[in-house]
Amino acid sequence: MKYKLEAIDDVRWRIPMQGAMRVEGRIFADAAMMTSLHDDPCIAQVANVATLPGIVGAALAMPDFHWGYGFPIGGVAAFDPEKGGVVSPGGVGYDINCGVRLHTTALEADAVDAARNRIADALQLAVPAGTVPAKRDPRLGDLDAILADGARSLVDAGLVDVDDLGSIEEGGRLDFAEPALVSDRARERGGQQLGTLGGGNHFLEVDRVTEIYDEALAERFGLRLGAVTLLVHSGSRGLGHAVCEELLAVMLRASKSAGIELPDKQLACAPLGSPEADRYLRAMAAAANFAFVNRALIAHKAIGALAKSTDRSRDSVGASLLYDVCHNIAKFEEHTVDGALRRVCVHRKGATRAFGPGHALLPERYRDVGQPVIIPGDMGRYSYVMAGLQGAMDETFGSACHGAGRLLARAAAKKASTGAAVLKALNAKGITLRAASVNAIVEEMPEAYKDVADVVDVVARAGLARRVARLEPMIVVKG
Amino acid sequence: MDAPREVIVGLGSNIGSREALLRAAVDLLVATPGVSVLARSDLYETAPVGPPQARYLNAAVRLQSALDPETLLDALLSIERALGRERRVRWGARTLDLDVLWIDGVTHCSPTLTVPHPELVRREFALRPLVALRPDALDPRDGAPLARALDAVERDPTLRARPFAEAFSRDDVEHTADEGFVTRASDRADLLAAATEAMGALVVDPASVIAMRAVPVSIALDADATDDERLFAWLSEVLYHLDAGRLALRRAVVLEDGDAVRGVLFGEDLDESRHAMRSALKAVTWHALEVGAQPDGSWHAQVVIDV
Repeated sequence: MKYKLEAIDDVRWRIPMQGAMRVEGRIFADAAMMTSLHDDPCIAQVANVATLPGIVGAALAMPDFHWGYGFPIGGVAAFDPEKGGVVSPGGVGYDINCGVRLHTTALEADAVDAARNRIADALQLAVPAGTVPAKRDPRLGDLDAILADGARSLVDAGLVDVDDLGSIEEGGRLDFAEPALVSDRARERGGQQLGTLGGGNHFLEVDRVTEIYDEALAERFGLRLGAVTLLVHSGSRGLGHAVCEELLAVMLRASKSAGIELPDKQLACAPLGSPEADRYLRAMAAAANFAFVNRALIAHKAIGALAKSTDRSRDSVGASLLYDVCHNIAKFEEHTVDGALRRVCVHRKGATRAFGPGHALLPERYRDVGQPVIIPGDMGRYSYVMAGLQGAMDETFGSACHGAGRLLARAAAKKASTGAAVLKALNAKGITLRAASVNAIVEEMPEAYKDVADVVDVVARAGLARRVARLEPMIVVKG
Repeated sequence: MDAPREVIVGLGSNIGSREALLRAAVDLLVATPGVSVLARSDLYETAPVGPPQARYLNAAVRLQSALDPETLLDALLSIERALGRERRVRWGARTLDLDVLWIDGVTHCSPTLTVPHPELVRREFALRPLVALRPDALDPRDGAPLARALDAVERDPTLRARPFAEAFSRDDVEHTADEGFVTRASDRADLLAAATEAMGALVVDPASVIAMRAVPVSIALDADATDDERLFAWLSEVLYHLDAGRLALRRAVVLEDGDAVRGVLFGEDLDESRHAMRSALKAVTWHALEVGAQPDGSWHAQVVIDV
């Protein structure tokens, strides 16, 4: 089915209600993006989400949105339990709480530049990537504690600073997690993967700050020109994938018994408040907590590797957590819907929470300026740090984009270039790459992604978040 | 036998993923000490002999071996067992049957083995691939060319030959964020094996993997499970074994494709330093999933995997 589209202004588009849609679709994109999306199935995916019961506001798509399964990647949707709203694993994705974590450091770019190969080797050795498993850190508590308490479970072992918990979305712990709902199989898949990057678009990067857009905010975030940062992109690994897979089967049966018409099986869902919805949310939260721990462990190991490879103490690396955000998550949040404050289940699939200034859930250090929003780009160009604005609270359930968004299919990327050519181009730009496979290099080549600057530009023009700084990669480790 | 001699071994299957089973049997023959595989014939789709049962897929391989006939037979029996053979009914249905059809210049007779195979000259499905591999083969009992026996044998009008390829056909599916494949096979059980191998090949190039480890896999299905539910459940189970079991996949066979699906994955422990690594897989998705019989009777599947 071809959907009618209307331009609202130069960065907003509407899919008017048609067919079974219960609300309209709202796409944040510029004219060039919309032209390139002509006839793309991801437009229909936005409209499909709009058909789900109890959806409020609009089915939203961020400027980096692209074809996912069920929900588009880059999609945001909120459901009201009082209006028959649902929760859908397809609105979160298989990689539950895939997200990013950004640390600032006291290192100078020149010092890192001089030791870049040593650092890259040390990072690759310290942080398993691709299919490589991890040795279990003896300081870790048992898996149930990790699933129940997330990043908080690492505090006693000294792996996470208690003062940093406020700089993790939801304090690094979703309190509605129920570890008993995570199956033995999910534990078996994830157990050996705690503290590993995995594959796909996951990465570990050492970046330098190359542009400051807002001096005052940058200072607040601890970012200064030429400073070195550490960026981690990973999620809940096999544990989260298994939780999603198992619960998707439960949801398919639940949709059938609730009589919900599904335009796509990946949209399987259950009414909020039903035993199936409760089971999904509690298992998902446990997987999300696992992901918070995974990112914290990766960062901990990476900081150790930075210290060792630059011959300094861990403390003198000066690593400080700027923020850790989820890209794939569903949870209850309070938002104003049609003028009234409602508790709605917000799904973000390839989207970042971007709470504006003054939000009560932000830590004191950021409360007056808005939540840090970390937008990774491709491995050859740059990433952005932004800060959430009131516009996001008003229009997108406090959400912004999550990255560049793919342009080329993985298979097409493999036809377009070779690993050696991609590596050579990156080296020419002064980027040192370590990858688990040649596939990872070529599938993740910069040209396979949209220019994240364009994505960020739309978010800024739409008033969802404002630019704070730009980071450019020096060292990249890919899964 | 002290000097190596040429041997023709006949292969047959009429349960499960017949083509995958014959291919796995050749793999295991290649890995058998004292045996060199020189060539393999086409695949022959043939009518069953004996009690009513499903159609067979037959082929033959040409070997060189210095093993004595009884030792060779033991090796073949262990391959049959590894590939799910349970001997129940004489001439009954089987996942895999391996027969020593012919040894160059040798006649052998014991309670367990008779060479040449006593039925050889009466069975087109054995004789045809043998003669294709060795047109000059002679019957060691009387020196008569076996090609001539082919003229006299009773013909199976339903026999169909097709090439015995190295692997099932598969192509990439272009999906923006994920990996996927399209694969084809002659029936549903072989399609399950083909899709399994295609999924395994997304992780590791199977050419870099040896079949040293066998992992049995089974799932139970609802009686009303559709073909796409069957493929989805099976591949999800396989993905669990690949990921949690750290298995690099070489081959897959399906032994039963009914209310339950049973099979065996062949491969070795994943070794990132030695295997040609591709992608780490997250999950099988319903997205764009297609399974079904084509108008020409073959089966086709399209699967997108989240990576």
